[in-house]
Amino acid sequence: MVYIDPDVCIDCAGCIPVCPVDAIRDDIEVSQDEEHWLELNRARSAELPVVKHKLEPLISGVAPTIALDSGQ
Amino acid sequence: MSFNVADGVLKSVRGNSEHPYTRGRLCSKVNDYQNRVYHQDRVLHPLKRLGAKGSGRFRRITWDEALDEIACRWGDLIDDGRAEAILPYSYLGTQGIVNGLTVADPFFNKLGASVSERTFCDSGASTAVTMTMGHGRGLDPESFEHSKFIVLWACNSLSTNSHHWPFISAAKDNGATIVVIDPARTRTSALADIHLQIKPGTDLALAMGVMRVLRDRDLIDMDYVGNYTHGYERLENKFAAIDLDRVAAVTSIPKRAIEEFAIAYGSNRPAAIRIGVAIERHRHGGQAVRAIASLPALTGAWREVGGGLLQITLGAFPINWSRLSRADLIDGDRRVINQWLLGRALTGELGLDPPIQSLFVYNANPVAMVPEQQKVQQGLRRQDLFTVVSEHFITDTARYADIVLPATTQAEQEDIMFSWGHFYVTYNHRAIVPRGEAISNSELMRRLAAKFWPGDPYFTRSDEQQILEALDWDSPALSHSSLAELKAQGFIRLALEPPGSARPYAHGGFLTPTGKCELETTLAGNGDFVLPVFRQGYDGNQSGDPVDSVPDCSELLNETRSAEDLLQIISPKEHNFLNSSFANQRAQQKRAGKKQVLIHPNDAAKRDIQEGDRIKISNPTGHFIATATISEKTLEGVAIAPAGHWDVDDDGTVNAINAATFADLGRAPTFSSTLVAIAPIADEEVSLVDVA
Repeated sequence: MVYIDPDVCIDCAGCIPVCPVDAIRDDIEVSQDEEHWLELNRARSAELPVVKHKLEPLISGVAPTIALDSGQ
Repeated sequence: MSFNVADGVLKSVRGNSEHPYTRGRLCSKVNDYQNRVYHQDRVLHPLKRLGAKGSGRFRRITWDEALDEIACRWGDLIDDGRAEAILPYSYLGTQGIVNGLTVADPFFNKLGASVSERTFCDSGASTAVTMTMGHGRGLDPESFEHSKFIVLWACNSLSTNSHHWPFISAAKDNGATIVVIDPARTRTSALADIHLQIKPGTDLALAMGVMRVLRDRDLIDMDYVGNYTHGYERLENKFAAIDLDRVAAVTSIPKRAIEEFAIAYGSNRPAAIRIGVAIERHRHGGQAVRAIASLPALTGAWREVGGGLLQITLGAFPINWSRLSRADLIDGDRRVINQWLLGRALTGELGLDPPIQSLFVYNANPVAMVPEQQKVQQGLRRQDLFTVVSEHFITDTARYADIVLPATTQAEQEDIMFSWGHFYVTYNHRAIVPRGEAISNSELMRRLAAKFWPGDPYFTRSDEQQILEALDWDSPALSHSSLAELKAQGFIRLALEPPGSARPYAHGGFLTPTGKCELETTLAGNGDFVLPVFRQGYDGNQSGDPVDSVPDCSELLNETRSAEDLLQIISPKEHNFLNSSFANQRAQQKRAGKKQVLIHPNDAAKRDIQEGDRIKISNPTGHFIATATISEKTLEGVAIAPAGHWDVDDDGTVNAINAATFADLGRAPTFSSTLVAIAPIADEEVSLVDVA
């Protein structure tokens, strides 16, 4: 899974429409029960390497993408 | 920007992923532009004032009624021989060659109104660059990818120039060192290798200290200097004996860090400098830019791809300025009023004869963005002042209007755009039918001109005709393409050398009178000037204030410390606002948070200020109230108040304490030289503070 550093993010929102599994929310749009994701993103993004280029999707990420593409 | 329209409604906007420079990205100011277009507060019809000036109470009138009243009021002034009592007031709230900077210039130049000198942004740096390098193309922002050493000097790229960042980031991946010179810790400094946290207003001292180190370490390219610069000896006389300990004391940057920076800049190649707008905003701002613009000539950085300096890219575009501004319509002498002086102009302090009797505001919100805020409001309350404001919203300025006119957004109008930050021309297609009775600025000028000179062929030109005439399609930069191709593709790059091989001044060829980089300027003889593009195309009645032909920081180095109890304050752009634009939109407000002032923990402790306290910021110019944020992002002794917030009546904003004084070049402001007292206020005191 990929995480976004909320301190580095410039809120351009460019990632939201291109995410194939609709997993990204604007921080001002998150509901109360989603708020814990902010801290999780902050913590994990600091630990993991920076992704600068598009990578091949993981196996687990392919299935939902296919499902979305076929309208299921 | 790509508009997503369904059934005539703008659903969303996105960056154009085909665009090689912007690459599908939009900043947080405009990535929900549809929410601006359909904002519940949009002005959709002409309005006439009902209540007292500033009350914001209006009633709907027709376009005919609005135009008739304007024509009648201005006609009376003109008939009375007082056309100069009319002052147009604008800047770049709307961009675009047709609807932006110059849209009303021909009308007001012909009408006989006072010329408005618009030195809001980069005029000081533009004068400085004109004096040093000439106002040409400079370093291609895309060439930064090839740089090995990048200096972002007074530029918070990630907040105010985010499309440039991928090129800087690519250079970093290739091993480039990124240096940020900024009084504040910013998003950009957090990603840099080195952050030189400089005391605001001391950049001239740092630049000249760097020169001294370059010379002492034999890092000056004497071959480049000999062939392609003018006045080296006179400049050397100014920097050779500079006391680096004094530079360190004045700039708050340790001497060793200054030396290391200078050596790294002089020995890592290619080396690029990107300067931001804030750098001009203090008393020595113009000469600071002159000194910094001299650095790449001293080290010969211009020899390499990715070496040199980037200010703005405007000079590369073949724009038909004379056709746009029509300064030829000014016969003889015309009064010029600098827009920073609005408060003084309206309140009679400038002793203007005739005094300003009518103000026409478009593309601007001076109550929020102009210094001496309380004076501006006082002037706008004058019962004998006839104020017209063309706007999207009832801004803090529009509240004072006698007549408000509804203006279109970028989605509702057709235009052609140059860029301040890259080398692409962009076409702005109209995406939706204008809401309500909103009209574009170009249509507004056609309607106004029809009242005074019906049938005049220049003032009846369609948008299509104006778009065609905006650029010189036969110039070398554009002859490879056409307006038809631009319309179809949305953008075209100017036919300049590709960024991977561009070395614009490798062999001199500077656009100065000598053709060299003028370390000693040959343009100081007539004193200070503002480029005509920032003053309706008019070159008469320049200030002519004395100008040092060579940068000199001795005065700055000899300055004694200001009173201990005062703080320096700077007013940078808020990440989510473009000056005051977008500051009334929900998402941007939510991200920006309350109107706040950042204070260093030591300064807060001395004043017994706690996080979140209401504080009063005051000086002889005025005062405002904000929420304290205590943070080590700022230097001790320096407060930071992001600009752009609305609702000025609610305790004022940072422009209440900024004074309308000028820097040394190009009539730039001096916001970064401002000193203030800051104190906590008790809750009960808040309601008693008189902000009127």
